[in-house]
Amino acid sequence: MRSSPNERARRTTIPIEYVKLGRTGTKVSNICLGTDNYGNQYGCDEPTAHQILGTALDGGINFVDTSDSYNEGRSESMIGNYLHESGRRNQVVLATKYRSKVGVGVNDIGASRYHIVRAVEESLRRLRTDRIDLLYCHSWDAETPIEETLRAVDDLIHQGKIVYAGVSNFPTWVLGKSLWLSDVRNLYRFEAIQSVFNILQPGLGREMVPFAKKHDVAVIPYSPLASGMLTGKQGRDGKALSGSKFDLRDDSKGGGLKSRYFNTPMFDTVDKFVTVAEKYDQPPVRLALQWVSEFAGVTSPIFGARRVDQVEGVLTAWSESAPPEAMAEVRELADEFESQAPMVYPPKSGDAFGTLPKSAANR
Amino acid sequence: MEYVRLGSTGLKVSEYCIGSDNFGGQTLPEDSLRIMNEAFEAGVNFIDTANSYTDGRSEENVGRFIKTRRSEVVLATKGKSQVGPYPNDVGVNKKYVHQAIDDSLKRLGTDYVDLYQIHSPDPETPIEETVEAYNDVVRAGKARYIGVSNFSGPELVEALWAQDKNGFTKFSSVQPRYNLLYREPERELFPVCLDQGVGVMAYSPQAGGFLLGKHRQYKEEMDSGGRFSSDFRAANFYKSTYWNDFSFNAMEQFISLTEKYSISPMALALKWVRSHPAVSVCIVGARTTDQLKQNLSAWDEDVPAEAIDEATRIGDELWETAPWKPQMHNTPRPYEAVKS
Repeated sequence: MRSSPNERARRTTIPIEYVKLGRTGTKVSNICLGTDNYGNQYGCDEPTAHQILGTALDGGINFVDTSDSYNEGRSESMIGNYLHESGRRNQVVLATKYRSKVGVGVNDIGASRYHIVRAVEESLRRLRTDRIDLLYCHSWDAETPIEETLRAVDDLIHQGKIVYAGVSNFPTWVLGKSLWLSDVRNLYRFEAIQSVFNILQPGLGREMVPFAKKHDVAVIPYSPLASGMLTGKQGRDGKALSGSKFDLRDDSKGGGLKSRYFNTPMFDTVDKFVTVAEKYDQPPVRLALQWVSEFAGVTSPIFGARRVDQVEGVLTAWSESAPPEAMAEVRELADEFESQAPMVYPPKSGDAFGTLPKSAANR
Repeated sequence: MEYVRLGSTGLKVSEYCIGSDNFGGQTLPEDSLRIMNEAFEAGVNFIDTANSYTDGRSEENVGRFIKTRRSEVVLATKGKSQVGPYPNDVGVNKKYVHQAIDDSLKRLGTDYVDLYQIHSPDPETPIEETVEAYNDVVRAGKARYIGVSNFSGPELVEALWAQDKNGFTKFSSVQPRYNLLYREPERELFPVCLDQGVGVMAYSPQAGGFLLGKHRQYKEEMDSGGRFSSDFRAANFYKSTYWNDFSFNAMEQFISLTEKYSISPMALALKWVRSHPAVSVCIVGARTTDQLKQNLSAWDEDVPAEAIDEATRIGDELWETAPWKPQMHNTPRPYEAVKS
C-alpha cells in the first residue's frame, strides 16, 4: 500500500549521456571532472591538467568542477587558461565555489554578500570568462543569514555573472530553509547539492538524496571512489599508498582521509568490493560510479584525475555498464555496510574550509 | 518546578510533562488519577496524551482528571496513528484530522486542547493538506497551539515552509524521542528548532527504563509491566533501538558513572536531556505512583556538571560507533526508499 516517493529509477546512462541538471533545462554529462588536484604536490602541473581536460572533453564530458580555494586558485587558473587557449569555453558547464578561506583578511571567507561579490570577481578573472555556469557555496556559513547569501547570489544571476547557484556539504535542513526562502521571497533557488557519497560514506543517501529528489535539486556526489579507497590499493596495515592523497594530505587539518577510511569495517567492505570486481572482471571505478549513479536524484558524480591515463581509465570504464549480477552483489555488500554504519552527515568539516573568525557579537 | 515558554509562544508550561501512554493500560485507572494528582501537587501543569494510547483509554483517564480543573491544565494530545478498522482511521488527511480532533475532545470531555500534535509524519498526505487542516482546527477553537511529533529536521522545515507560504498557524513544538542513547534529534532537528523558535518536548528521556539499568546484562525479558515487554504496544520499537551490544555497553558505563557521583540514574538521565539548549520540556512517564515519586525526587536532585559532561562522552562514543537509527526506524528507512 505504502507508496514510496523515491523509487529508484534504474539508470542506464552509460556510456556518457547528457542529463538534466536537476529541474533546470541545462544538460550535463553524467560524470563530472573534478580538479582539486591541479597545482598541488599530490596532483599535477599545468601541462598535464590541460591534457586531462582535453582528454575528458574529447571523451564527451562537458561538466567541470573547481573551487576558488583549490590550491590558491591554481586549479581555476589552469582551467581558465585551457578553455581560453583551446576555445572550448562554450563546450563546458563550468562550476566553481566560494566560502572557503582564500586570504588572510577577515572577510576573505564565508557566504556574506561582501565576500561572494569579491570571490566571484576573482574566480571570473582566473577562469578567464565572464560567467560561471554553476556557483556553489562550498559549505554552510552559520554566521551569515541564508537570506543574505541567497539575495547576493540572486543579484549575481540577474547581472549575468552566474547562471545557476548550488550548495555543497550543507545540512539537509539548511538546504530546505533556503528553498523555503527562495519560494516565499521569489529569489533564484539553489539547484544543486554537492556532497561526499560513496559505498563507504553512505550518509548522503539516507536523508539528503530523497529530500533533494523530492524537491528536484540535482545531487552531485563527490568522492564516488572514496578518494581511491575503493580501488583496493590502500594498505590494510595503516600505511597509505605512497604518493597518494592518503599519503600526502595532512590528516591533522580536518577532512583527513586516513581517519575517515582506515578502519576494519571499511577495509572489509573494500575487500569484498574488489573481490566482486575481480569475479566479474570489472574495473572497480565502473562499479563504484554506477553504484552512486543508480540512486534516483543523483545527476553526475565527480571523479578526479591527476594523470592522463587515469581519465582515460575512467572513460573506458564508463563506456559500458556493469553486468546486473555484479551490481546486485555490489548493492548487497554496500547495503550490509550501510545497515551497520553510524551517521556522519552533515560532514564535520574541521578546518578544511577554514575556520570562520568568531564575530565580536558572538563572543 | 520551573515553568518555561513552549518554544517562542507565550504559553507557560512546567518543564516536567506527564506522559500518559500507559494510563488505562499497564496503569490502572485509579493509579492514573493518583499519578496526575500527585504530579499537579508538585507543580506540574502539563499533560501529554494521544488518541491512540491504550485505544483511547488514556484520553478518557486524562479527561476524568481535568474535569474539575480544566483551566489550570495545559493539555496536549495527538492524532494520526491507526485507531479504527477503516482506511481513513489513520493519517493526517483532512477527513481524518477533523474526525480525530472531535473524537479526542469527546474522550477528553473538553471542547478544546491546548496543543494538538501530528503523532508522526504521514508520507501519504501532502504536507500542504495537513497544515491547512491543522490551521482550521485552530480557527475552529478546538486547539490553541499546534505541534508535531517524531518529525525529522527537514520534515519540520517543509511543514513550516507550507505554513509560512499560506499564512497558516505555525507549529510551535516538536516532540522527539531523545535520550543519551538516542541522539539523532541533535543532528538536524534541534538546529531547526533553535533557528525557528520551535519548542522541544523530549520524550523517552530514560530510554523506557533501559538507561536506569532495568535490563542489565541481557536479563530475562519481562512478560509484563515494562516498555520492553509483550504487553506494551511499542515494545518492538524500543527493542529495535536499544536491545544491542552498543546500547548495553553504554548503559553499563552510564550506571557506573552514576555510582561514581552517587546520583540516581534517573536524575542524570533527566538532567542530561534538559541540558541541551533546544529542549524546553521533558515528558516523563510513570507506570506506578512509586515511580512518579522517584521521578519527582530525581527531578530536583543535584547533578554535578562534570557528570553531565562525562555522560555526553559515553553518548559520543555510542553515536560514533553504533548503526544509525532514523526517527521512525520501524517504517521504511529513507535509504531503502531511494533504492530499488
